[in-house]
Amino acid sequence: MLFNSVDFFIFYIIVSFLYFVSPHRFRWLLLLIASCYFYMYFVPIYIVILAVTIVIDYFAGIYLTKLQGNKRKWLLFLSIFANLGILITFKYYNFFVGNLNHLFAAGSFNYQFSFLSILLPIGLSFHTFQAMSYTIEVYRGNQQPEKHFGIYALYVMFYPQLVAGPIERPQHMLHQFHEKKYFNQQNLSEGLKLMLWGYFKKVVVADRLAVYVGTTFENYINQTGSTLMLSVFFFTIQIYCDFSGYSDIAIGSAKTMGFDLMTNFRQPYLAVNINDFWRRWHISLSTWFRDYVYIPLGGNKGSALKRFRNRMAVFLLSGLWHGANWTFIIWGLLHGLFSGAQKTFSPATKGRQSFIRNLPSILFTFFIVSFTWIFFRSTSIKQALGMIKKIGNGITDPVFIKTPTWMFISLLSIGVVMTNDFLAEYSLSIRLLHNKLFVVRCAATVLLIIIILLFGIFNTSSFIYFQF
Amino acid sequence: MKVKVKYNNIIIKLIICLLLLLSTDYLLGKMADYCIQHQKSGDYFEFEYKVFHAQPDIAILGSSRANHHYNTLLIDKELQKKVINYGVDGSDILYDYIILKTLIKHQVPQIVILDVRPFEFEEKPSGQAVTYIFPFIKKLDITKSDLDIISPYEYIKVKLNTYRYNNIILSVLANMRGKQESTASISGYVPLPSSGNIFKKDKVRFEKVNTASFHYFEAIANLCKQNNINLKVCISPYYNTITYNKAALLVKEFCNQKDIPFYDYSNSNFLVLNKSEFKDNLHLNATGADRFTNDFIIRALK
Repeated sequence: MLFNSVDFFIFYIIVSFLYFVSPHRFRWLLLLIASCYFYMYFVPIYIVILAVTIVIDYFAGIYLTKLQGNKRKWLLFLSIFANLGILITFKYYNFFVGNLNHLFAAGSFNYQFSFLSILLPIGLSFHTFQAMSYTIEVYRGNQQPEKHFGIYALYVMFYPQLVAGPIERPQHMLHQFHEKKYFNQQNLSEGLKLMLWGYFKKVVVADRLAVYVGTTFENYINQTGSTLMLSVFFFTIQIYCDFSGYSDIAIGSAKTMGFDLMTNFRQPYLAVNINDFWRRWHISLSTWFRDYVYIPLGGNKGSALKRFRNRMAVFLLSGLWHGANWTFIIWGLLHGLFSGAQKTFSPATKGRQSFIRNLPSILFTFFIVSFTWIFFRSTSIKQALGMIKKIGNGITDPVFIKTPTWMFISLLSIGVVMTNDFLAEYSLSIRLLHNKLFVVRCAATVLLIIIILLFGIFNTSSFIYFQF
Repeated sequence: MKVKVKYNNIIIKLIICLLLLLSTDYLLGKMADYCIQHQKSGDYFEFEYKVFHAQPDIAILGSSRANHHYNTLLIDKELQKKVINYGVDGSDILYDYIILKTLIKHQVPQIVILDVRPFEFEEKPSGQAVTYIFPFIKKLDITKSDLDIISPYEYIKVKLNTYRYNNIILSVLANMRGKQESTASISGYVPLPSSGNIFKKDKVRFEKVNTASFHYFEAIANLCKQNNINLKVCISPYYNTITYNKAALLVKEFCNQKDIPFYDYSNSNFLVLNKSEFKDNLHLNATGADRFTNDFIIRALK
C-alpha cells in the first residue's frame, strides 16, 4: 500500500482509531495484522519470506542468551547468513550471474548460468537490516531478547517503517511496543502536520520533478547539456523530497499513535562537506553501517590506509545496498573517495558558522552530491558517462522547459522546501504550522492542504526507495 | 504517561479546521469556475466552444493520433461540412465516450470518425485526459461508473472543487487575460511540424484485451446507432516498426458484426507512407497527415 494513495488514508484512519479503542493487551495484535495487510497489499506471497526471517531471528535472539562461547558466534553467523542469503538471492543473484556470464563469455567458456525470474520483495533491504540489527544487539548484550513472538514480529513489520525505513534499532523500538500508549493531542497534532509536510514534499515537489527527470534521463541522447544539467538538479531535489517525504509520513503516522521513530533526514543539502552530508542523509542507514560495519572494521583507528579501507568498504556496501547495478557501486565508491579526500585534505570545521561563511562549502557539497546522483539515477555506466559528457559539452545550449507554469510551480515548490530547511537549520522558524495561535495553525494547515490539492500530482506513483 | 485529554477541545478544533477547509475549497472553486467561464484563449476556451457550442456535421474522436492526423480544413473544403477534431493528447476510449455523450445533448453530428489507437484495448482506460476536463464536470455527461474507471475514489475526489482544478489553475488564470480568440478558427486539428523521431528498435507489445476498454468501444457504437449517427472506425497509420494485430482483428470482427465501416491503415494497408512523413512511430507530421486525410476522404467520406 502506498502512503500517497487514498487506500492508505482510509487504512491509516481505521488502524489509528482501532488502536486507541483497543485494550492495551491486544494492540500488538492489531498492529501486526494491520502491518501484514499493509505488506500483502503489494505482493501477498512475499509475506512468507518476511515470516521466515522473523522466525529465524526470533529464535536466534532467544538462544543467543542461552548459548556460550563459539556456539553463540555460530548462531549469530547463521542468523546473519540466513538474512543475507535471502537478500542476496532476491536482490543480487541475477546481478552476480549476469557479470559471471559476461566473464565466462569473455574467457571463451561456454557455460552460462540461468537467471531467476523473480520480483524483488518490496523493502527487503530495509527489514533485513532491521532484523539483523536485533540479533547483533542481542549478541553484543545491548538488548535483551524479545520473548513475545508477536512483539518481535511487529518490530520487523511495523507498517509505518516496514518498506522504506527508518531502519530502527531494537533498543529504541522494542520497548515502545510494550508501553501502554495513551491518546495525546500533541502527538496527534505533531504527527498529522509531519504527514502533511511529507505529502507536500512527495506529491507537489518530487512527483512533479519526476516527470521531467524521467523523460530527460530516458532520452538523454536527444537532450541538450543544459537540459541534462537541470534534470540532474531536479533529480537531486526529487530524491530528497521523495525519500524524506516518505520518512515524514512514516514518522508522523507512527507519532499519532504515540510511537517515536528516529529522524532520518536533517537538512542534507545544507551540509558543508560529504561527511557532514552523510550525517544528515538517510541517517538510519548511515548509522547502521557505522555501528555494524565501520566500527567493527576498526573505524578511525589504525593507519591511514586502514582508515581508507574501512571507509571505502562502508561506501561500497552502501552503494550495493541501494541496488544490484554497477551504477550504484560507482555512486558508493565516489562518495567514499570524496569522503576520504575531505578527511585528508580539508581542515576540520570548528563549531557552527554563519550561513554566509558556509555558503561556498554548502554549494560545493551540493555540486558533488548532485554529480554522484547521475550514476545513481542512470540505468548504466554508459548512460551516466554519456550524460556527463553532454553536460560538459553543451552547458550553454537552450534548456527544455516543459511549460512556463510547470517550471514556475516547480521552482517555487523547491524554494519552499529549501527555505524550510534553511529556517530549521539556522533556528529561524517562522512557525506557521506550529504557531502558538490556533487560528494561524489552522489557516496554515488548510493552506497546505489546498496547495496539495491544487498542485499535487495524483497518479499515485511509487516511492523511489521502495525498490531497495 | 497518561495526560488528561480534552476530547471536546480536539473535536471542536478538528471541526473548525474542516469547516475552514471546506469553505476555502468552496470559495476557491467558485472563483475558478468564474475564471473558466471567462477564458479568452487556450485549451479550455477551445474545449468549451467545441463541446458545448460548435455544431459539427462531422466529429472526429480519438487520441493525439486523431488530433494530429485528420486535417479538418481538407475535409471541410472537400465536403463543405463543419468538421471538429476532438482528439486530445493522452486520451483514450473513455474520454471519447464522455465527449460523444455530452456532444449529442447539444448537437447530433451526422458522422463520427472514431480513431482507435492500435493498442487501445490492451489496458483499461487510464482516464488521464478526463481529469483535464474536470472543471467542466457539472456540464459533462459523466457518471460515477465512468469515474470509477479512473480510480475507486475519483467520484469523491471530484467533490472537492480545488481538486477539479489540479495543476491547471495557473494556466486558467493566464488565459483570462489578453485578446479574445475567435471561435471561427477553432477546428481542433493540430499539425505536427517536424519529422524523424522514429525509434530504431521495434517496440514489443503484449497484446492482451481489456474488457473495460472494449466495453466503451461498444458503448460508442451503440450510442451512434441509437442516434442514427454514421460511425466510421479507423486505425490511422503508424510507422511499421510496430505491429499490433490483435487489436485490429478485434475491431474488425466487431465492426463486421455491427455493419460499421472500418478502415485499417496498419501495415501500409491502404497507403504507403515514407519515414519523412512521420513525426515519430505513432504520429504523422503535417505532410503525412495531409496525405492520409486526402486518402481517407476518398475512401470513407465521399
